[in-house]
Amino acid sequence: MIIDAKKMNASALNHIIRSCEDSEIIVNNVLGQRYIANVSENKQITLYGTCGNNLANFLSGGSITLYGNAQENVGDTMDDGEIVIHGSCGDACGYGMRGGRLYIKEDCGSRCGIHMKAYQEKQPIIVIGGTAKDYLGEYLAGGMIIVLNLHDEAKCVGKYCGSGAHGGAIYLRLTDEEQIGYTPNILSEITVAEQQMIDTVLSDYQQKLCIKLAQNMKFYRIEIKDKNPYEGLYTEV
Amino acid sequence: MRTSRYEILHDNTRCDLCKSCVYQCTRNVFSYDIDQQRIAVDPKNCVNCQRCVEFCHHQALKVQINRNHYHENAYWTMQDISQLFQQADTGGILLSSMGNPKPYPIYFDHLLLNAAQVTNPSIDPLREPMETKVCLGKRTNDFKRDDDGLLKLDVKPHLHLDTPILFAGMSLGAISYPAHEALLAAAKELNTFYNCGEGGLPQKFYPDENHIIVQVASGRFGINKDYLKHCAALEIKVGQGAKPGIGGHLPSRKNNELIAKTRMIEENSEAISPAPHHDIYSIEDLRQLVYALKEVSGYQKPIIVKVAAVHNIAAICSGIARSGADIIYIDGFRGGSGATPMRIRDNVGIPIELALASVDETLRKEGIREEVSVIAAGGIRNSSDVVKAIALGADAVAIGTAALLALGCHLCQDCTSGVCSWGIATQQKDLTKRLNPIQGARQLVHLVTAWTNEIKEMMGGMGISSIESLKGNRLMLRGLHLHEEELRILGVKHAGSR
Repeated sequence: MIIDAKKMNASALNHIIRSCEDSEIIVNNVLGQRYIANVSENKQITLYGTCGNNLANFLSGGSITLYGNAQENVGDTMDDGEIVIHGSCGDACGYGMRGGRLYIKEDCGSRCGIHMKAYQEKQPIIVIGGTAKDYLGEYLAGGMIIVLNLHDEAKCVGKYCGSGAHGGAIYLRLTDEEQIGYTPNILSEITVAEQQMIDTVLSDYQQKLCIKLAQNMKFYRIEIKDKNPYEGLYTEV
Repeated sequence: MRTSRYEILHDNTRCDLCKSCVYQCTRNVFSYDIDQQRIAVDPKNCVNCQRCVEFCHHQALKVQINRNHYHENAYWTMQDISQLFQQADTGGILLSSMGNPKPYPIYFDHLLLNAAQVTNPSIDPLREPMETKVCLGKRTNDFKRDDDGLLKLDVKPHLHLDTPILFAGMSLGAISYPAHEALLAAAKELNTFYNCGEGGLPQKFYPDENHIIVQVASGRFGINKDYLKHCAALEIKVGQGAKPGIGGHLPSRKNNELIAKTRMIEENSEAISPAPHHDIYSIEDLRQLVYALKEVSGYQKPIIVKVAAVHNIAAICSGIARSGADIIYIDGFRGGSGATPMRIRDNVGIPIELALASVDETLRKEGIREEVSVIAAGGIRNSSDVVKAIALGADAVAIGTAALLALGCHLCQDCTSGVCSWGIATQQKDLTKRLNPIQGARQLVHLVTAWTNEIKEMMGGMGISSIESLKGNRLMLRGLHLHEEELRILGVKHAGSR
């Protein structure tokens, strides 16, 4: 099904998407409509234009491909499936994400991957082609965030990266001393197993975004303290 | 703690050495001294949960406050001194449980109810129909007709309750699985609602979805498409009366297999609910989450927004009413908690009575009172509190602490320890099985039924036959021993005034 979203409001557009029985849906002229494809499952939705806030919240399967940019809160509490953004997205994308993959071609705003968590076979993955702003992976409890910084910006991530994180992993591609020096976190070299895991994810990322990444990119892992960062902070009365 | 808070009076002449106290105590206060053939008592860890006392079939036990006192004075109380000692010893933030126990004014106890005399008849609730049914959600004030002159019914989603009492949200993790089973079974029988809290919803509960309210909190635990589907209403938890402005934190030691499965997180990991929702920094943002959830339910389920009663509560609720939410849940500063920093619990927030009156007044003045229903919670102790809350402007109330008391809680305020001897605030299998969910449900049904009957009696006395007519009916209230400003905020006259 092909939908023209021109001059259509969010609830009308979402109603059409929700009630459409086709497995493949193309939406043209998206312009700021919110809540697109919330709780969608098993549908391949392709969007052209600019999505409003809350794209693909609670997504539980299928794929969302956006040719354009998205605003805040993409993939909030996403459970499964795949979101591919051929552009940038705003703040708090992947909030509370539990499973599936979120691929962003360009940059993302603050608090990307906040409170992302893993559960059994569900291991959420976020790959950011450009850079991330402050508080990347705040409260991170599981899953994997990779920042590629493909345009070699001086600041790969903003301040307080991984603040309050107690699980999962954040990998940054850092090219020179300056970038490493800027990164406020403690960085570790990655293991061979981690490199392989990253390679597997990136080969899928390249394919989905139709881009070609350089070989031998150098990644560092941000140190995540321990599983119980607040142990000993309290005393029971 | 350097000195025990309680001392235990053990009457050897009554004791038959049955050792029930040894088995029942979860804090190793009692042991059996095999040489001397007697019960040995070490009160150091006693929290006065009364489990041993209730199980002592010869009534040989009494727990009382330690008669030994520090050199306290009117300013530096025993509590101040011992808490200071504890912090000097440990360097920790004081962590406590349940609601604010401080002797702040209790406005419910300064409000008196009216009754009909001579000029209007009272009603006998036992022999005349009394309506306690409540419908929660948006109401419309204006009538619209179509071209044929027929009424256009734009019915918004509602919750229908037989009694104006719901169970408050308490997570699996804060309380045990049998406690959840009991609350749900009771809600079903009473035709009201159980609230699973923010710790996910056990799949076994799905068939009873018509009596379930699920929470969406900042931690997003256990939320997936099934969770959002198997419920009658969705509640966005912004705040909690016991800890306004503070998030939640289930320590890893309590995150066992069942908790992890229900929350969909890794076992033995920390379960942190951030203090803010990072997707909500404004009323416009709140509207976004409200509508995201409405979209999810296809506009078929009411959205509740739960906030703690804080200084600007009236303005906040005015914003919530405009956000598209169907129901506002206000939690007063007496509201309970499984674990809360003590200074927050004891010093942050305002009483539900004042918050409620102020919110109701503001929403009426702004002409948006019917845009939302209001649930009041945070320290409802009995049926007269319910009646007074409704007269102050609530559509219904939610009970948490009172419900737990019905399940056997003795209010020792030691939920954080995770070794609740009553099987309520614990996840240890040997302890949770102490709570029988069928018996627990019966106790809850008894409690709410008794309260409902009492509410009918009070309403009947006032000559009111429908709970709807009591809502915001402040003429039914008079204040006693209250200042002018307090009376103004509550919107009631002083007792004796005409």
